[in-house]
Amino acid sequence: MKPALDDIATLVGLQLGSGTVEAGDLLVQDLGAVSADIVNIVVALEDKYGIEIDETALADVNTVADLHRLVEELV
Amino acid sequence: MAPAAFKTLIEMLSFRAGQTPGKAAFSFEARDWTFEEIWEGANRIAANLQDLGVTDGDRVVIAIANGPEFFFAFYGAQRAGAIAVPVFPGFGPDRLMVYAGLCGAKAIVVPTGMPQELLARLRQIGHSNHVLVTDVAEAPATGRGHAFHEIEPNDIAFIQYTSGSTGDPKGVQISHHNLLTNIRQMIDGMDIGEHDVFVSWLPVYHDMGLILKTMVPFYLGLDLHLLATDLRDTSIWLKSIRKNRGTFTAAPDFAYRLCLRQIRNPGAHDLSSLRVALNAAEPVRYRTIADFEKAFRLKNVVTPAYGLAEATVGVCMWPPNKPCKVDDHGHVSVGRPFRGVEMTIVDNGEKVATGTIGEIAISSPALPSGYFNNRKANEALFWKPGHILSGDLGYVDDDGDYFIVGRKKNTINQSGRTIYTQEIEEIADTVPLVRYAVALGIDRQRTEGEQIYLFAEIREDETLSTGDYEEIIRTIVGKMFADLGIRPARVYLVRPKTIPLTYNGKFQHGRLKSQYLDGTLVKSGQILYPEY
Repeated sequence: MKPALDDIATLVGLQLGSGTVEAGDLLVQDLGAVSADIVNIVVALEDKYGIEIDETALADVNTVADLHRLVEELV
Repeated sequence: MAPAAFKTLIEMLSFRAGQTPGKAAFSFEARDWTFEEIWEGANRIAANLQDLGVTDGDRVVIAIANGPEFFFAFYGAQRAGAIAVPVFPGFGPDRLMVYAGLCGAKAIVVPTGMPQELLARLRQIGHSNHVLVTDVAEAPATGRGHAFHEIEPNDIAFIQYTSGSTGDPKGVQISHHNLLTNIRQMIDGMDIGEHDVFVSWLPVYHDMGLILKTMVPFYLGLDLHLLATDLRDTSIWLKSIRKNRGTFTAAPDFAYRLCLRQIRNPGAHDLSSLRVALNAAEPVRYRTIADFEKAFRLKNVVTPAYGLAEATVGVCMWPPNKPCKVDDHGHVSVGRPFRGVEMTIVDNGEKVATGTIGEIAISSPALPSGYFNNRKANEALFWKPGHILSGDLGYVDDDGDYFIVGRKKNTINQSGRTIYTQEIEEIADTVPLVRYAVALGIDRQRTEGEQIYLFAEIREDETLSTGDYEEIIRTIVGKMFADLGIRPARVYLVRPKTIPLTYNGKFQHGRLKSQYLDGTLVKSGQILYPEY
């Protein structure tokens, strides 16, 4: 399944309980995610897209769009 | 003889049949069943069992639903010197034989009129397992002419199998002395007297329904209105309370919630005769008590209590007719221990300070000796001699009032914090369209340890869209974060009746967890959303 930015934003919104997630939102500062939430988002993405995300790759992930790029590379 | 002098249940029943033969032991389906009839029925079954070769200490499985035949068989087995083993009557032949095997039963008693093919199948597998199968109708017309041994107070009256969430049943062996002691403790602690009228639909084959709701009224010779356990229509229960001016009823929390869902016109139900509507056997929710009392215009009637089979049954109860006490986390106090009962909060084998959460240990003169034929479980059961570990977590406040916060096993350890699944489930239950929710702790081998996976049953509604599902999930997550400061790792919306329940309505967390982890839940198509 090709990852659509909208789908990723919806997934992040479900994880964080937010209905208004935008591509440029910062996961921590804008959306209030804590480290456990980030891990849970990663696991949900892995389950949804059948991928494995290396935790070291998360260092460069700040926004929803960053997550989308990461998933696109792995699918 | 005064009840205080009863030494065994058999003595109690024989006394009632002798002194007040025509008094109804209970009413069931528009018919009174007198103490004489129950005693006669018990003697007939005892005679039949004796003729079949059942003798002192043999186990006899009783697979009979609420109604007179249960009592014939339950007391008949004891009259014959045997140990009664009541089990869920809805079990199929194979499951019945599992229980017969667990307790090494000599015989199984089934009700009159069991479907022929089922009975034939049961007899067939009974034969190959050396277990006799008999139905109530096979008993002779009278028990006269048979001599029975005297029963001793320390003889085991029955074995109560507890339906653990792991599907690993353990049988508590309960003596006549245990039962009579706990009956007296409950009568004292609940202030039960001749003014009381009992109404019960609780299963008679399980401890609260059996001991509190039938043995207590038998002991005092009170009126009891017994109903079938069918909860598809809770108005039958409420109607019986109104019609019979019931003063004392009991049920687990879910039954009160069920009433609120099923009864469209609570105003039409006059429950004003109720003195106590005991709420026990599963976590008590303040929300349930408040909503139920508001809907049915009651005040301080729904009364939280606590007990477990490993302590015979009753341990403590909040005083009736006194406003509930609720702590900052929404836990409702279950009051103070009954007379002679001691509750200790322990952690790592040591008593902890007031206000600190730990496992509840119990000592009581009504404490049974442990599980039948299960050394390993018995070793884990005792904190120290005379004190059992309940498996429940709780604390005591400065006033000496006890609070239960959850099952020891139903906790999630997330990032060093202990979370009680019950708290999460209660929050999810308040979200519209959610029927029930169950929270599990699942470790996905990432860095943060166990995470919360929530499974919420959603009401059947074909018009719900993906967008609606997403909104329900966001609401649950948002509420949980607002209340607890944490978010679940995953929320699954599932179809009604996905969450496995024990036959007495408790969530089977362990079973759901294995269904999820081994993939059968996903394959079953029971998950509505999300697909991953």
